[in-house]
Amino acid sequence: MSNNRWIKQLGYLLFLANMLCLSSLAVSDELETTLVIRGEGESFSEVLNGMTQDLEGELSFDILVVGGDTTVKEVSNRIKKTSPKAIVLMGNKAINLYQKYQSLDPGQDFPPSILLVALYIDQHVKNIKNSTGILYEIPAVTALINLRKVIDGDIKRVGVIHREWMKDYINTNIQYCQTEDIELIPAEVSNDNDTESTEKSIKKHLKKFKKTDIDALWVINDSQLLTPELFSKAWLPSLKKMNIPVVVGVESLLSSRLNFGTFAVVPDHYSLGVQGASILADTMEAGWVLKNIHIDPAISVKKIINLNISKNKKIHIIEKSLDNIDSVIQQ
Amino acid sequence: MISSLITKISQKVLHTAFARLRLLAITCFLCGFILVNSAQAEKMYVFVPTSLAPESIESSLQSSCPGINFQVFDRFRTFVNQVNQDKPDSVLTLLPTLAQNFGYDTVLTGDIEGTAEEPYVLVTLHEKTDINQLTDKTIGAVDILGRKSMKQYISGLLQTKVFVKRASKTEDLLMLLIYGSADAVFMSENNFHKMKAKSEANLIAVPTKIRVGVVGTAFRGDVADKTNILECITKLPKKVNSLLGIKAWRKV
Repeated sequence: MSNNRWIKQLGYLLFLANMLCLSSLAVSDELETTLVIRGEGESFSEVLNGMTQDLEGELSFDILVVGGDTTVKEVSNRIKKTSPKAIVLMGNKAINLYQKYQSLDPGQDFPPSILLVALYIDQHVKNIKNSTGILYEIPAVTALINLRKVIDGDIKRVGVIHREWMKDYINTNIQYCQTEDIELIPAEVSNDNDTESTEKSIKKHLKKFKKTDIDALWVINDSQLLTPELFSKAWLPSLKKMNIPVVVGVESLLSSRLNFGTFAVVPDHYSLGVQGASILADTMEAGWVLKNIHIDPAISVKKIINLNISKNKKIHIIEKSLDNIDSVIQQ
Repeated sequence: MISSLITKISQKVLHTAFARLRLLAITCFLCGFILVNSAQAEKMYVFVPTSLAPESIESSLQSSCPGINFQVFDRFRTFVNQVNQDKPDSVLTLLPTLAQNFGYDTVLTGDIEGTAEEPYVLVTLHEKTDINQLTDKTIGAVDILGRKSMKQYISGLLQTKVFVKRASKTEDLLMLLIYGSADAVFMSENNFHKMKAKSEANLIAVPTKIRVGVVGTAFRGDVADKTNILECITKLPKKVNSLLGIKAWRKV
């Protein structure tokens, strides 16, 4: 009798263990894993939110947050542990670490990877096998269409200063702008990092822009051209004499204290995550094969305007149009 | 003399203290009253994709209906998640979104020229699209149903299998065309005119026979008293209705 009870209990235990195994198998069958390697910071979290909420119940996400001390070994161990069907890389640190990981054994098959939240992703994609991504830089045309909605005046001719190596990027932007009947006028600065010659070039180009009556200036996110030294010696003194909107790609350049940018258009991080989720879902539906390697720019943006600087520069703003603006800086 | 002065001073101090206490009691009562009322104010969650910032729609609705507590969302997913979590008394969103099983009953629909539907067009850049050759094309559309449902919904409406590129705002549809990310975008004729007015691009709209539902107002199944919300929504000013893409409201 007691033997029977013991066997019965063992039977229950085995049944439970079996159920547990089956349920874990069912979960892993249903939800395949994507490894997200991302940097620290709010923007990354927001992108991740958009992505995971959009794919809720369709994929499981394993997150590895990388910092300055994260090693390639840690990335490698995590990939081995997770065996992800796809990898999402957010930020330069994540991209660089993964690129190093791939270079350790370049002959192996790598899962598809999607690169997000880093500048010049089209360049990174060339160095990472089986990858695609979304451009983080917002094209001039998006910023200028939005600027045109808020200012009382024409936006037909827009100047941009860029380094030599960005020529392809600028040409793409010229084409986009042509669609909207906007002439993007490029002015090239040498690739070398000599501050003095860069300063001279920026001053020369801005002087020329002033003479040729451009309607706005588009400033691209290039840390080499936006150093504190170049700000104080070239950009700010030259722009003092120009009462035109200055369109920037980072909110910090809109600060009234800096007195530089008038209008900023930045990626909407949540929507960027949703855009990334679509690529991930398409890849999943294609049996984890990257279907479309066309690299789109971030589609959805946030618009910010500094009314204080606009007023000082006598740029007329259509008040009603501020309803379309996500954030208005008044002071 | 001194004792009477002390008495007078102490009386004054006491009087002031009582006055302060009275003021504090009244303030507490008022705060409580406001809190209780705001907690009891009927909640309406709104999701109507436009090019306007959600705060702007929210303030228009709030000033027209101060007795209702509005919360406006600019994305389908956050709207749905929040509705499922908070179960507000009512929701105001597009009829196709309401058609998903939310547990909300549609009581009002928007009205344009006597109908609750509006014509939709397919918009392309430079070249006219052939509406009979849409199979496997990439069509941009504002996300009103989520990823999986959008694909089925748009393919169903266009009666062929298409790939769908979702946008969160109507203004993003223009960018899908300029960047070459979509072969065409699917949008209401009304929104196309608004987009065309703000763009210099060579946009070409091809009419379709498809008509899609405008906005509607729906109530949670167990809400018995709908009077306040119904009265206020049906009397929204023309300007606010126009923001919602309709001319008036009518009962279902």
